[in-house]
Amino acid sequence: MILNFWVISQILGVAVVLLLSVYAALQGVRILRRWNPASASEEQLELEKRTYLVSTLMQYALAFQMLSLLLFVATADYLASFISGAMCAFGSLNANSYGFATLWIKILTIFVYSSWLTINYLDSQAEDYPLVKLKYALLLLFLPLLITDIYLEIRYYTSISPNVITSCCGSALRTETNPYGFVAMNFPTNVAMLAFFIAYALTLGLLYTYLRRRQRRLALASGLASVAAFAVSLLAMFTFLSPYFNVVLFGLPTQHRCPFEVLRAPTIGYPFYALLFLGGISGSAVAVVEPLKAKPSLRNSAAKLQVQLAKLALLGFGGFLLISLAFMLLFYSMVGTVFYH
Amino acid sequence: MSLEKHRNILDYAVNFLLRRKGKNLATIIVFTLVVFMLASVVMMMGSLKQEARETLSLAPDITVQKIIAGRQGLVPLEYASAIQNIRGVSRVEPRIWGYYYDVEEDATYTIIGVKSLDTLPVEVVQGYLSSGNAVLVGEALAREKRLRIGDKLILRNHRGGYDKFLVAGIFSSRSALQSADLIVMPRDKAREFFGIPEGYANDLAVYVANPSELPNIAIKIANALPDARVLTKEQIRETYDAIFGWRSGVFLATILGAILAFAILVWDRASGLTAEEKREIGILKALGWSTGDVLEMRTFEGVVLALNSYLAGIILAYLHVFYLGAPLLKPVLIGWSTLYPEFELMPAVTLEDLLLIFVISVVPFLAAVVVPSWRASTIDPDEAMRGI
Repeated sequence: MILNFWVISQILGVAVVLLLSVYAALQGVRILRRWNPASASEEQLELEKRTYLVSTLMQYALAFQMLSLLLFVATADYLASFISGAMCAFGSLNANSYGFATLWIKILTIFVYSSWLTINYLDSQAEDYPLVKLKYALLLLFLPLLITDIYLEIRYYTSISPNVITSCCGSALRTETNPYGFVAMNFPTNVAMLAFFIAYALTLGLLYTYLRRRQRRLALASGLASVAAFAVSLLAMFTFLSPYFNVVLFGLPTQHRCPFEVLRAPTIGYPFYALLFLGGISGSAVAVVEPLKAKPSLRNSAAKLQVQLAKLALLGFGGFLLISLAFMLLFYSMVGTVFYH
Repeated sequence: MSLEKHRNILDYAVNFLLRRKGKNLATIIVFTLVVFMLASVVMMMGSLKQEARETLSLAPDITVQKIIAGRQGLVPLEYASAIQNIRGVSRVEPRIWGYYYDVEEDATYTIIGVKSLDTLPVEVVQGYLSSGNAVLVGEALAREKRLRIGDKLILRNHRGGYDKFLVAGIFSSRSALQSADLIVMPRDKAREFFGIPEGYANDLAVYVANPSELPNIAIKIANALPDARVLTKEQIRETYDAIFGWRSGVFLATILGAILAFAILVWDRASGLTAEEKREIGILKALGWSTGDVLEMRTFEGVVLALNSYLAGIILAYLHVFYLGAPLLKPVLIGWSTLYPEFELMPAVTLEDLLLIFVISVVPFLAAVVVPSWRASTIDPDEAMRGI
């Protein structure tokens, strides 16, 4: 069990997100049950007012969940100093099976929140609230996700035991170093490299062609490709991509495949990951919006939004790729090769 | 064009706030205080951690102590030669050191014996150094006892007699925590002063050539000398960090109630709209503002208020911790403040620290004002203007 400033704040942050979402879901249930757009009753008017409340709550929840993700990584980095063998956030998250599970679920919730807000945005553009039922039914899906998030996180913190010198034991009892702290993944780097470039060629190509042709299947395909490119980028940061940053920025050995190290140069690290999330979120939203075009009152606004989202996705993925290539180039100029293993 | 609209709403929100200085002042003051307290703790924690790390950078790679009947005892020097034989050990140094309680000043000093004084990173007066009873003292100690280079320092030895020393130099280390209370003297003098028998030392400092072999060497020492306690530098650092972390956690747990009370206060204040505010919102809506616009205005209001208080709190905390030396917190977070008469904290604030303070102060605040803001923005214009 570990209890300190960082952990308490982190749990408080997640609790606030959960509170806002539960409140929003309660409002959602009420709206779902009583919604009747044909009526001009007092109650319908009241419910329409409440839709504003729900969207505000969800916007806050998304913003806080993003902060929570950042703080979670920062907390893990901070905890590395108590956990034997952990050099940075990677080691702490790997200290038990809950660490990375929490990270993945946090990233997943951010995707789900942004998709919901995209749907909500479209709905508010139309006069006749065409998506109300869908929207508020989806709201209920958040709760299991968030409860899992908070559960995993608490389990994570309670399963960590800080290393404190007690009166009897010296180093003999715990000198095992955590091998995962140094070499991140056994995934073959060449395969990851290949997958990375294929995924990017595919995603950027699909997004670009979509913008030229505006076809339904292209929209769906670029959404799927965006999710894949996001996942492959994370895989890349765990395998072949992070060493370029770690070597160029910090002079670490190439075996150090830690994706969090780059955050120690915040002016590069945070924008770098922000671009990746921008690409992943707006890219996947292109596909999320596609089926909503079936509603006649949404057709125009949805098409307009899709174009904007596709452009943002191009910007995000393009920026991420460019920064990665720039660091590969810098690495090349230092080491003389990009194939370091 | 749509950006322009948001900017105008923001403008209006700032104006709205400024016109109600009195009402918002209480919130701003309390908010600033909350941020100030939290930020002071976080900043001080970071600084202490930094300080401990710097202290430890001078510590030996491995410290070996001897445990007799569960308590620490003197280490026979044969142990040193046993350790020296382990492959990978570059140097073993028996250390003579201990604490000295000064009745006059009611303070405890640390006396350390070293092989020779002139290798230490401190400016010394050579003439005094060769006198045979020269010592080097820490800056805080020198200040307290009003010592200058060349002064005499009289200390009571283990037999009850008084030993006279000559101050040959004063540490003015950048990091005060590590040398504030230090008296450094030649090893033989220290042995004599404490009455430690020949052939023994307090502990052994072991230096290792290759840091990656450290854990293995520590195991080998522990296996070879079953009655020894083997501490690596890394373990000591982990313990320090865990203790600072734990203390700050306890502190935060105690003021968590205050944060909750603050959130309730904010909720309450944001809920109670004055008749005048209601009328204003009513007029805005009558002029064509939508519910969404008013809601955005109220949200901006909260954000502007929160960011200002956050910044003010951070700046005040910075001044409090790094210029004034955290007078309000020192007794809580540093248990040994009587030992260290006075020291300055080195500024050490990271982006993550600021994020941490943001999450624990601004997030609960903004969450508390969501519902009241929404309620205010859904006022019926007709009702509001009639002043019901």
